[in-house]
Amino acid sequence: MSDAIRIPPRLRRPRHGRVVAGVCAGLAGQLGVSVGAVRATFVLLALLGGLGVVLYAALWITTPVGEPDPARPPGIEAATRQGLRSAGPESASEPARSTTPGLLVALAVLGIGAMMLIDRVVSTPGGAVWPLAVVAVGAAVVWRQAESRELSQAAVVARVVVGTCTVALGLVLFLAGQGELGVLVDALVAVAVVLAGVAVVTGPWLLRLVRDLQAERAERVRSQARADISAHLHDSVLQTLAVIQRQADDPETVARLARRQERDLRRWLYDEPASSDDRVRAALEKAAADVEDAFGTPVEVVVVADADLVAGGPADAVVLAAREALTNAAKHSGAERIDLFAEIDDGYLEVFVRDRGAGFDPSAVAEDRRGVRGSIVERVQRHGGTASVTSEPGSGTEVHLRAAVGRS
Amino acid sequence: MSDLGSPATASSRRTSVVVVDDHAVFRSGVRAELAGAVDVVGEAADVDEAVSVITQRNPDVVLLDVHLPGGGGVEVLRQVHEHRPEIRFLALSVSDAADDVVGVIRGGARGYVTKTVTGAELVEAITRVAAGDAVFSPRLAGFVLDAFAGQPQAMPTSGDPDLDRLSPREREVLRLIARGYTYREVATELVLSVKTIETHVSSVLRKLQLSNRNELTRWAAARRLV
Repeated sequence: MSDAIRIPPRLRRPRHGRVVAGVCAGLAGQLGVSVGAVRATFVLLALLGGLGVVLYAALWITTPVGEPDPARPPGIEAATRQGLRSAGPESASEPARSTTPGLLVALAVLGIGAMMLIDRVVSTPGGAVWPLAVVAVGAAVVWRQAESRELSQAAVVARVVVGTCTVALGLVLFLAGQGELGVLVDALVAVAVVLAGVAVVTGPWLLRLVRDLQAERAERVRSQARADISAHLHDSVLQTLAVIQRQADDPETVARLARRQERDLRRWLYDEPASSDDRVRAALEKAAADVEDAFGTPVEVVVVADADLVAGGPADAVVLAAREALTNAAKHSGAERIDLFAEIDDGYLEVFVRDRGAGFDPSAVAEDRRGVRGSIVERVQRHGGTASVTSEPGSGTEVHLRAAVGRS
Repeated sequence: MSDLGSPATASSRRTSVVVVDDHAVFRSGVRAELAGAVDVVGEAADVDEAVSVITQRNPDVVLLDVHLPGGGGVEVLRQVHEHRPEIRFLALSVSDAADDVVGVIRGGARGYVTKTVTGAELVEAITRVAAGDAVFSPRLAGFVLDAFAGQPQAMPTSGDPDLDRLSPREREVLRLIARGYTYREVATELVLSVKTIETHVSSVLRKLQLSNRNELTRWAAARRLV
């Protein structure tokens, strides 16, 4: 799955692990730093002239609620979309806007923060605070409108008009309060304030534009993913079907091809995004796949938990021994299926390879036969592990491998 | 025990089966494989059809696909069990996603097999489910071991702490099933009766259905760590 297209996760405010509105928790998750550090930064910024409060409120308003999208395999995604499976609990975290009270609180905080900031920086006469509060309320009304898309046209217009008027009123009041300043300053301030007012009023639409662009980009990524799926089906399934038709008179080959294709497709559709190859689970699945391909005997792989795999280490030795055991079972047992079970628990990796084939008498195997003794038992023992082979003619064989691999 | 008896005597009256799967090719394949061993009394391709066919035919066992138009196998289980809690379900699926499989089991299915199961194995699984036992494929046993792995502390409790962990004996049984042992072979290995093994597996099934534990399993948690 290395060629899979990943959409970078968008900033979300998680529902769990939040103190106020989850902004810090969301940021921490996004940036990969500790929540404590983010919170400390915000508190520090808040103490330095209220910037932290403004920033927090702004992120509160602009960040949707929800957990980051879990990346799911394409088969599961598709099945969920088509209603073939009931969406699990994780889909309850559909991006949802915060409720109105929460948003209003955010806006109030934004207003107060802005006033604190302006007070500090511009050191306006006390009379400027309330006009600015009026500006904030007006902006809040307009912003609120831009957030909700379901309002009727009339309501939109009414809100914009009311909001803009409130903003204008606040600005006039502000200018009146600044009356003792010179005319030139008045004019400059007026221009600046009007520009600021325009920015405040159009801000939400700009924001929405940016969001729409993001949505469009996500859609493009999705259509690329669809193209990838078609390409994948063409390269794998269609090719295999073509080969199968040509080999129709050789049932063994057909079964082998079908099994391999099934395994590929299944892994592609349903498996977790492939963990790195240096994990025990991936290595065992690869070994099983190789044996299936080489001998045509299906291997049922069940792995519980996972651990790191260091080349030349004990886990590597166990996996190589398991591969050897699978090969032996496929080559000599004649069994229809081989079961591979592996479990990593309490710092130990245990692997069982079992077949229901011909079996043999372990005591009768010649000393010089390298297979079982050298490549399975001794290989694991060299790394401090244990290996045993249980077999009886007629009732199949089971190989048991165990080695300490450290805690994962 | 119900009037259906044990798997050995169930053959006196053939088990009736409804096959629910949205792929016609698969349904006819299953029908052919089961012919002679059980009575396939109905087929359905989506949730609504399945619910009406099942309530009409009243089969012993429903073979239920996990992925199904209309809300998935879980939805069929929910609607049928509302009125007919006695009808038994055996899930079979091509999807190996752990939460789908565990989902139908928690929804009330008494077992899970993959679609690659052989005809003989499928017949045995149906007979077992019809008799009221649970059917664990190696894969399902692996999922359950995974779900119950680790320490139960810091997990939401189900009220009954026994529900949140497997007994050592249950773990032993599951590990043998995951290794590919049949119930009979497990019984021989542990020097127990097959009946006892069936009891252990049913008890694991109950825990899987009632415990809150597997909602916070390792695979689910790992999945969200994007």
